[in-house]
Amino acid sequence: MSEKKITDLITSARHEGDIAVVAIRGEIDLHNSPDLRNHMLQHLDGSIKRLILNLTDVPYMDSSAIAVFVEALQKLRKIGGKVYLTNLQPRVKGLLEIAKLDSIFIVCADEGAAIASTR
Amino acid sequence: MSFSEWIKVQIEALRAMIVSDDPPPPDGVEEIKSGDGIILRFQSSPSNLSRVRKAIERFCENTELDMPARDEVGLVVNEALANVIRHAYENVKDKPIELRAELCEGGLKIRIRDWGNGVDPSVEPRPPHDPMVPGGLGLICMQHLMDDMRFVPQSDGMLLELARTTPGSKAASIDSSHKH
Repeated sequence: MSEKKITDLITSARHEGDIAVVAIRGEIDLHNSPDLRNHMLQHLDGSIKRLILNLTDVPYMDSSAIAVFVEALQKLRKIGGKVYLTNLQPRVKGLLEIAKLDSIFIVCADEGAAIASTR
Repeated sequence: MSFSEWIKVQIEALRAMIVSDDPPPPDGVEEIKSGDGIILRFQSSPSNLSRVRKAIERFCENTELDMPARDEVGLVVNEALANVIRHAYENVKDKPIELRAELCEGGLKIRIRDWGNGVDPSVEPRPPHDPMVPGGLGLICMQHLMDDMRFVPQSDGMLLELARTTPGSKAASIDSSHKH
């Protein structure tokens, strides 16, 4: 397991084999989603096939954040990978429902459930 | 309404008319009361999105909308403004945007005015929504989460009119309708 650099938006990140577990913090909109994109895609270095995003501390996000998650998924799908979203807050869950994204992301209750479902 | 209250309302309305001819502040969001509504004036910087969203969510506390509905109104305003910034103003950060909100039938009406390219996104041809293709989600939010949405082309930009009076979460009903 290796710990990775953290930022204002990414409070913790660790790699376990081909799994990256990234915790995000804060409200995400068009103002800071470009930063999120830059930091998050750094974790997808080719050795990672499964990305687990812990959204416990994300009370709000808009479609620009969804676009970042979709871009990560597109990148991982090319190598047979997946993106897991955990600990969804009500507003984030609502946005995913509107966008009908539960069909492309794997939504789990928490990190443990996500890690278990990768096995 | 007493005479003094009527005078106060008239003064607020006159002030709103006068201020609206000035450019918006270079930083932050100018908030002006206008009768039982508010006017928000700001520049097209993404850094203003959160402030405007929260101002509208606070204004929603004056309505009969419950929390899920207020949250959805906040999201719609965020998405509408993000579309103005990205498409009408092509990410130029110092262009003016004016948002007017007023109480209406237990909910609210919102008017968002920009002086951008005047393109009406609701009539632009677009393929069916594909979750794997980013983009277009803002318009979907506006269409599904508001009771009324209308783009009114202006000679020098666009006016977007939105209304929401329905309580409860519309997002939840979308989800259940596509699952069953």
